[in-house]
Amino acid sequence: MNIRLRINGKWITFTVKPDEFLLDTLRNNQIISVKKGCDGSTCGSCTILLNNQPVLACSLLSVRADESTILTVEGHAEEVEKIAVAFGKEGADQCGFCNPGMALMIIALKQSHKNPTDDEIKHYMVGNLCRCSGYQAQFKAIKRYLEERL
Amino acid sequence: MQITEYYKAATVEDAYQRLNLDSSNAILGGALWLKQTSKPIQTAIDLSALKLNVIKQESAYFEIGSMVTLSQLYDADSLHQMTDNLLKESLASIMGVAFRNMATVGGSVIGRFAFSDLITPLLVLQAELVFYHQGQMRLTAFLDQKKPPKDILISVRIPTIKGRAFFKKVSNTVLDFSILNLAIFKHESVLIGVGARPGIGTLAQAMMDYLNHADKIDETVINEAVEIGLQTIQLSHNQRAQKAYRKQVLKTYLKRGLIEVMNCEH
Amino acid sequence: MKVVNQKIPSIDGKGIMQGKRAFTDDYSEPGSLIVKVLRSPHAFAKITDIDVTQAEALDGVKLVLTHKNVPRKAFTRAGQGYPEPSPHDKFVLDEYVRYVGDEVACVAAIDEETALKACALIDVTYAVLDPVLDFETAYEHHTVIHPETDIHEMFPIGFEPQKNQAASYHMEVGDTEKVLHDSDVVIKHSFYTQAQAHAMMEPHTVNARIDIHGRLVLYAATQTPFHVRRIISQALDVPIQKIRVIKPRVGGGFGGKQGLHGEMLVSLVTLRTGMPAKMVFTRQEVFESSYTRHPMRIDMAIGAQKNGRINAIDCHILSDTGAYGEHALTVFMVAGSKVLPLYNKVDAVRFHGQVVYTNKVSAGAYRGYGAIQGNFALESMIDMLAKKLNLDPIQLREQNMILEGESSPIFEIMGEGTEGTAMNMETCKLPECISRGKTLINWDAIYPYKEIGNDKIKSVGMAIAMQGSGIPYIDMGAATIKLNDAGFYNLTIGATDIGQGSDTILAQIAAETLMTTIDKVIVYSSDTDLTPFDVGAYASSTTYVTGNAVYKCALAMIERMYAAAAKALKVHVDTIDFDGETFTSTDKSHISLVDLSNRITYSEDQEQLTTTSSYYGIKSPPPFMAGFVEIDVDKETGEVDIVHYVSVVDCGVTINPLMARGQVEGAIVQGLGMAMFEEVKYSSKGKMISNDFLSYKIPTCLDVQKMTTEFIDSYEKSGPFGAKSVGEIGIDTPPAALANAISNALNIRINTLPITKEKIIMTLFEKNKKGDHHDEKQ
Ligand SMILES: Cc1cc2nc3c(=O)[nH]c(=O)nc-3n(C[C@H](O)[C@H](O)[C@H](O)COP(=O)(O)OP(=O)(O)OC[C@H]3O[C@@H](n4cnc5c(N)ncnc54)[C@H](O)[C@@H]3O)c2cc1C
Ligand code: FES
Ligand code: FES
Repeated sequence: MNIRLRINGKWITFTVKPDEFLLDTLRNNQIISVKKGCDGSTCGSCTILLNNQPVLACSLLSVRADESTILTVEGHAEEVEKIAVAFGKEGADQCGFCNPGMALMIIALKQSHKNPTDDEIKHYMVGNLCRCSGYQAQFKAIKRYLEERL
Repeated sequence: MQITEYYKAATVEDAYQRLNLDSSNAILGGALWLKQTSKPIQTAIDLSALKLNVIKQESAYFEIGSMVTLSQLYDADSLHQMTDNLLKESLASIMGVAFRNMATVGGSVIGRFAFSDLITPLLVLQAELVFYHQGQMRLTAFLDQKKPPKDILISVRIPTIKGRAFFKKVSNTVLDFSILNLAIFKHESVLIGVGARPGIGTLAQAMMDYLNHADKIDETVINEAVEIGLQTIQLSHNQRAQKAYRKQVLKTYLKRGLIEVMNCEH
Repeated sequence: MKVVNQKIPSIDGKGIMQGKRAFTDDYSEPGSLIVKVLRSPHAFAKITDIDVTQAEALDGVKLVLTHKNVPRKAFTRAGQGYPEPSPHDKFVLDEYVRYVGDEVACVAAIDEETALKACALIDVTYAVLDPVLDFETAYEHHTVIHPETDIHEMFPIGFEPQKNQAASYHMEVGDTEKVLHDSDVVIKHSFYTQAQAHAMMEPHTVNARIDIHGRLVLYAATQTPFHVRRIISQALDVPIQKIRVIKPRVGGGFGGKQGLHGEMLVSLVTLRTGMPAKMVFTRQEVFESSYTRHPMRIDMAIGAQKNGRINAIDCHILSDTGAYGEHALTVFMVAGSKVLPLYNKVDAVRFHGQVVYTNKVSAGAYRGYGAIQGNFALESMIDMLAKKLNLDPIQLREQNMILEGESSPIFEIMGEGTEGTAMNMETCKLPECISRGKTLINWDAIYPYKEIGNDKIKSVGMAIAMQGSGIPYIDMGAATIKLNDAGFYNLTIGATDIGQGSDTILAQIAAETLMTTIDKVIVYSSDTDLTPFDVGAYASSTTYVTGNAVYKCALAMIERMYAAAAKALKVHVDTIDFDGETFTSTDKSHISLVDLSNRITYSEDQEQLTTTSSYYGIKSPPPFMAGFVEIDVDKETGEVDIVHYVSVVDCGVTINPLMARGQVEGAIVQGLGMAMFEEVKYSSKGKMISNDFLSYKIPTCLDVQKMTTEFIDSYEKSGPFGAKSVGEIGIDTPPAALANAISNALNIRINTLPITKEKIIMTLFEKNKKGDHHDEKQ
């Protein structure tokens, strides 16, 4: 089947199988910023923005994304750069495997919450697992980014 | 998950016909659970063109379309006002935001997951299910059916009854399945639901009867009610906890929950 | 210091967040063959027949490997230096399968669907054998897990496979039995620590191709590229010079990627087919078919005087290495060697025990590496002893613990698999760690507990810990620095950054020494063709060992530059001073580094300045820490909130305080996962049932409310700029600190990890049943 996706501003047509998931479609087409951590909707590494909403690409059938707008970190370069700076300043990045997914989640958080409380931030981010950081520095980095202390 | 053919239904009737064409055809909700399963699907039927993803407020009930995502439901503020945030709290305990943006109310109900944190509160809110073919039925009746019907769930209806609520999920981490979950909803009468026993969510009928017939509610009555609950609610063990622990948790939170919603002094 | 001990952001974090090509799978060749493994459904079985004709006949299948068509030469996947202290007990593929998930056969096909289909078409006949699933009955069990005769140890480690024993060890200082006997009090307890999964976010990943020279080139998510190269060469009989291993960015390892997982099979596929091939473990394979932490039973006895003096410690350990003996001896020994010296004033100490095989997933290296297991036992025991003697647990520690300038005979006796190295503690700031931590956690206000209403109790608990900094006389790291025109440098190191930030901190060490800024030091690491040797990322060695190599290397480079400058300025080298940018002679003549480097590159006295240095430790200065936890526990449900975790660490000078903190905090949370709920579980038939993130839970950002991490001023003379290691130390304290906090809150003692809500309640029930309200169960 053919589907058309607007990925990071560019319409691209893909031929996909009915049981193909968007994460594989993207990675097989060299959109490698999206990571496969579990392939079972349990880790958040594969988070993308589908029509501006964070979803898990590993569990979204590609056909269902037909005619949708998809943003990965490449499509949000400016914000991602700022988040990266905040992460750097707080020492929040370690292996980084979780980071592209986390960055998109943070962007979505900023869009949906004006002044999130600490608790709201944590509850918003809870689906994104990180085995390296212990989360504390990430949390500080998110706050730094939201408060624009860059 | 294996799918041979993907089909986007044009009407509910169309979806229903397709579904019953072959025993291995299936409806796609958010497909998150389906992805975990290994049974091959011949035709996967997508309902996303059928506008079932809306929440409507009628005078007698809230109508939640089966394709409404858990996130949409989480954002249904007027519903939460009415139910004292019962559903909101239960939804907040189900995975993360990206996950809830995909998982659907329909899939959560039809899946009849024993661990479900949604079914338990829906039970105490006296939810009704609207099926395309079978029409309307109580959630309790649906859960009692041996085998779920090969039908299409159109919506879930929650009667407009205002009340006080208590919800508790006990689990190892927020992202884990419940060791036990408990929902209490009190308006004129009180409803108590227990899930992940590890059996599927159920109403604590004997306990509810006792409380709803009590003249007054005080700590002694609550203690007695809890005792009845412990004797009548079936608990068992699984990978996540043994029966004795579930019992202890149930006992504790039944009491705490009742004291909270009954507004009674400790 | 301008660069070292500064909060410098990691040099690659931004690129990774931006999704640049970084990880192993990002480098796989489009069109690579997909390698899939058919895995054993049985915990123990012999393959009596295996028919691959249908699989081979399937369109798109390029190769099917079984034990019949692969080289048979025993090796170990452990990923250690050579000769390894792990038994050579593994074959590329074998006629025996020893755990559910073990490799039966391997398929390479043009796509995943075909590969999986082909796996399903392989017809295997098994003679199912009685598995050994309980490690306490494994020794001399009637089932012998490794009956084959062509396996061996590399040097004596107590390898007795016919008894299901992978390793054993015994050491004693003084007469432990006698000293225990003569002590005022003796307490004896057994502790159980569970299998923990590494659960790094990036699954094990490898891909291979043959390059223009006919050489095998691997990209691998590994902690040990040089060991991978050697082990593949040995096991597959490929000349080592024909292999190149490149480690790109690795998405977390924690020891799990010290060993080899897909590397062997993918290499063989590419060697046989000549085609690029790749393998990415599914999450299920990561759980079921890689490594876990070694589960242990630790029997400990402590004898003490009434005044709190600890006279003797006796530690016996039974460790479960699973189906293969990777790290069997060494992890087990570290449970003694990096734990028992904490209390060095004893008259006698004994450490002994054995490591047995079972038909479960192989245990391997895992951050903490035995020390977390041993620490849980010892630091629980200290609190129990304090209770028994009615002494303050912190004072008891202070009275007996190792101090600066002191030593322990254990350092000399116990190494990793071999003899150890005597050393004095040049730096040991345990007293400062403890007193600062006490303040930060508000110990005096809370200890032992406070009722806070609603059936909740607030309490505190603590533990101290030590680790090492590399393995003396074994771990070697090397660095090369090259000066380029325009005066910037290349730093190449074999050290493997797996997320801990070693590329950054090694660049910091180089930049500080070269008196330049970090942007002038371009790092390239972990490529067996292009970078000098390094043992890899394990044993908390990189900062200390490779860091010293980088420091030496940079000093050597400065010397070379001085010489070049002297030549250019036509003055004696002793008259020159260098400030990182300009060489100035006492006669005021000067040349900038930019000009000098351009000069020797393009115009006069041309030469390429390159220096290479290497380093191996002659000791392993331990980092120390005190960990404190504040919890709120619900005495009706056993639910525990981790309200605050305080870590005060002596790791010498922190090369990068941000990253050091990240190492500690990440490790604390991993340790808390082990302390509270993480547990690899098996069915009664030996099938792992905790094989995804649904059934195996790791901590989320909501699981720890607050952490405070501080570093005590400390300067380790032998370390680069005063540094020791910090990669593992953080993981050790949480289990004992939590157990002690629970004990302080509820007067119950839980000796079996994890300390789940359920266990807390069940233990309380038991206590109440016994009517034992006053004394902790001893
Ligand atoms: C990793 C993971 C973790 C989870 N954790 C929790 C948790 O902690 N607590 C909790 O309560 N739940 C949890 N769940 C369940 C989750 O919340 C959803 O209930 C579940 O995924 C089903 O929703 P879905 O939209 O994905 O349904 P699907 O997977 O699409 O469908 C589930 C079933 O319902 C059928 N179906 C779907 N829609 C309809 C319809 N309109 N009419 C008829 N049949 C239909 C499908 O054919 C299928 O049989 C978890 C699920 C996963 C995958
Ligand atoms: S890869 Fe999609 S949630 Fe883990
Ligand atoms: S930084 Fe490694 S998983 Fe988050």
